[in-house]
Amino acid sequence: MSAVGALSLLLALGANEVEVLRDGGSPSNRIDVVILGDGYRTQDQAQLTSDATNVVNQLFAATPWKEYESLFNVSLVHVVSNENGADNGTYGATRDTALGAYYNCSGIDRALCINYGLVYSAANAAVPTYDFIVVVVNDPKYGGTGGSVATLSIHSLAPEILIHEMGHTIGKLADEYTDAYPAYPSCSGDCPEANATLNATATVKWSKWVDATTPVPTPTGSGYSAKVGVFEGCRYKTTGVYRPFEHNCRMDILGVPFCSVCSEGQVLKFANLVSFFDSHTPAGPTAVSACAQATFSVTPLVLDGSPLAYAWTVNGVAQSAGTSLTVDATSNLTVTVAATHTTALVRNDPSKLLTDTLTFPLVTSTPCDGNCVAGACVPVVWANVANVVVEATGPTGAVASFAPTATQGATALTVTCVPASGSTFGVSATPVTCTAAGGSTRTFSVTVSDTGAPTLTLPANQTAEATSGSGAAVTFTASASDLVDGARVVTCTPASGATFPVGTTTVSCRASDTHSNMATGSFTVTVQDTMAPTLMLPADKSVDVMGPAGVVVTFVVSATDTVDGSVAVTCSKTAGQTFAVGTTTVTCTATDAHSNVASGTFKVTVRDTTAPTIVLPADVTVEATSSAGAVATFTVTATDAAHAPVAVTCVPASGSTFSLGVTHVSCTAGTSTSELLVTVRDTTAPVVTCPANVAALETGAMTNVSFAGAVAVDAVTAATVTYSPASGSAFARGVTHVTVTATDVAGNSATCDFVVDVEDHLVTFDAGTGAASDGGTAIRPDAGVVGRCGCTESTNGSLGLWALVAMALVIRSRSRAKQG
Amino acid sequence: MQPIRPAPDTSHLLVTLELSPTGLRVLGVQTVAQPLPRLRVPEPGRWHLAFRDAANQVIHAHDMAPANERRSETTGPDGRISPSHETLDTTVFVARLPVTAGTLTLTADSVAGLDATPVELGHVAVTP
Repeated sequence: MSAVGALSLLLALGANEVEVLRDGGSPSNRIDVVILGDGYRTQDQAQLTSDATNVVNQLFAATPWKEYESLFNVSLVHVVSNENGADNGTYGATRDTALGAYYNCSGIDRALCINYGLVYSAANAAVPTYDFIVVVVNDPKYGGTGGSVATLSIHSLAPEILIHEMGHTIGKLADEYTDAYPAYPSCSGDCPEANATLNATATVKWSKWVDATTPVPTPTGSGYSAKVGVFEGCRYKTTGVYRPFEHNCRMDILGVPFCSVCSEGQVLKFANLVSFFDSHTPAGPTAVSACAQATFSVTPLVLDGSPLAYAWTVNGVAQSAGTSLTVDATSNLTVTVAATHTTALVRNDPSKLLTDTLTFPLVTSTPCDGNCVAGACVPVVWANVANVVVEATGPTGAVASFAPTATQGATALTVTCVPASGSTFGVSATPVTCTAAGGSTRTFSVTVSDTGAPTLTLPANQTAEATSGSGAAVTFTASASDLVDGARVVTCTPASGATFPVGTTTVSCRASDTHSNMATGSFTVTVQDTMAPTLMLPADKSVDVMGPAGVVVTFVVSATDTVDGSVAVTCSKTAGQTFAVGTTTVTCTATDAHSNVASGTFKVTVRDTTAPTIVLPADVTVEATSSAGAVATFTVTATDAAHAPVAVTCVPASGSTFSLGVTHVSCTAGTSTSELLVTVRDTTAPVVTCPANVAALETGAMTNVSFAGAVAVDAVTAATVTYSPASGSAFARGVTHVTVTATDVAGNSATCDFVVDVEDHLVTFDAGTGAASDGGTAIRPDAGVVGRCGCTESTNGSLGLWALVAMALVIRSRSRAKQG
Repeated sequence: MQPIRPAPDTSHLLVTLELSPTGLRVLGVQTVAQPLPRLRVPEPGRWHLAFRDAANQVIHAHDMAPANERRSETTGPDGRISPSHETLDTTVFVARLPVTAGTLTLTADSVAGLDATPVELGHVAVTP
């Protein structure tokens, strides 16, 4: 545009004049965007128009703005500045502009800010119906900001900033990048924005855009960049918040389209800002006379170039109509029209924003209780019109049947009821409107009642074992199901999990439905104590005997019961009693308060581990009494630690005949053995008896004399007898003593002697008197020397018995014995 | 189904407000000859406006995005958005209200989340 053209334009518009760039319709039902220019001098106003048009064209070239451009009004306010540009921009650090635009806002070089107060003042004055404000700043430096007012420079990339910011401002979209925004509120429950979620599951709010083959959450860098998925990292966080596109949405990167989820979100926000009806007739509640015709019409909004679908109803009965409907005003009527928009850009519309509904109340001044025929009311006779009450048969209520009839004159009219007979009615009172052909209506109600209580399912009486003195915690499951309400909460007292005391407790349960029907029931919980106490007995033990009676043994026993706690213990032997040698089994019992008995045993073994002590006498020596030896007796005793009698056995036993010599006697008492020596000796000399003295007449110088043998007797062995001189030896005259020696095997010897008297004559011996005489000389018997006679001597060495011999001899005896 | 729509307002108030550390202040009130804009379905926002009449009854309420947040989101060297966010101590914004005198209260969600108890940022009397 030439300078002349620009001036002409300004003159045509005037300062702060408004230029319409998009005229979608009445501002009351459009989204109104106002664009203000800053840094545009008078001579720059044509440039402002060009710049703003360029921005608007780029905005409406982007889906979904493109499809819904008809919903927008765009006005341009020609704000005139004294200087072009913005502070810190292309033209200098300080520029005198109407709205105070400046770069390096808050230290961010590209942040292009304006004075909000001036902006609102200008916008309020010029286009007070605006919904959103955009400020275009006449500076080539790249920059812009978003917020309650969007700004952008005339740099070629700046419109992308605006489109992104509109995604925030109008579309309420989240930033999908992950750069930190400290103190920004976290999502609670789920994020309010259409393109951010905490729900990384198949139920994500944009699930209708996610292919069944796309994993959720969706990994990045795995070939899903062109698909909608659930990618982690969004809304200034790298984890925990998810976005729909990998990295190719305008809410993440400038210069790329909005993703389908962001487009959908914006379409729904557009729809929420407008009514689908630009206008409607009548504008409000309408009153007409009976049987007059009433016409309702709407002026539809054009959305996405596609017509809306309309659904009309009259008293709930669907009507076939387009943008208008004419009805006979038989009575008070309620007319509704719902307009629905369908677009491929929206798959999920939870708030039903793509359907808009209008309601027209029609009040008939004098209702026609019949049909309107040619503007006149013709009576209609109704029958079988009565309220219906049925009992609910299920959650959805019950099927109710009715059959109202209507006749007009003799003509039966077709009757259509809404809801129809045979429909399922919810549990409540539902109005049914029946309309006869021609329009006459009757209304009655179908009441589905719910008088049935829930069915209570309780456990059978339960028995539990006490786990403590308080009883036992008992859990149970009680349920209730109601024909209408389904599962219901059951309240039981005591509740499941409560601690029930020992004994029987009745649990009372109840459940009610939403219609105050209550079911009650009960069962019992019996907590019993059948568990015996736990006995704690010592292990079997062994002790050494300490005395004849045994030993005193101590031990500790106890018993505890889960219910009663400590329980007394009774044992067959008490601690501290004396236990005899041997093994004693101690039996203990404990009985709790509920007569549960525990018993147990342990053994106490009293040991005698010290061998008995054998008491031997001194070795025994006895004199042999025969060749077999001699009987020897001795006494052997034994004692042990317990001082109990201990038997001793000796071999050979005392009283046995022990052979000559030394015999080892082995004595055993228990495990002890000792030895005793018994010696049988032979120290007794034989008994030798000499023969009588021998008197022999001298036969020569020497006379051989023989004499009888001596007699030798030994108790043990044979004795050997020797004579000196021997018998037959030559004896000289006179008396010769012959010594007889008897020696036993042990060497014991005994002697005796007799004389051999060799004389030349004989001595007379008077046996009667004992006197002897040799030629008249008396001879004394004790002369010591026997003269010419021999004599015998006693074996005991004493002058004993005199043996009478046939010879008259003076006997002198001498006794001698010699041990061998 | 929407209720019967009331007879459309013929005008509403356009109120210009300033929020600063000292509170809320009315910069200007003007009547706009257009029905009060209404959303078909209320939308949540972290700022809550409640307009009460003399009887302290809420006669109008709506949520809005915080007007004290400003975003600088330009193209970075790698083509990605280079963002900067700022919370303004003082800002100006507008509210559209029914044409009546009343008290406008502004509350805001705390940063703890959308369901946190809102805190009042200020309230002002509005006179047509």
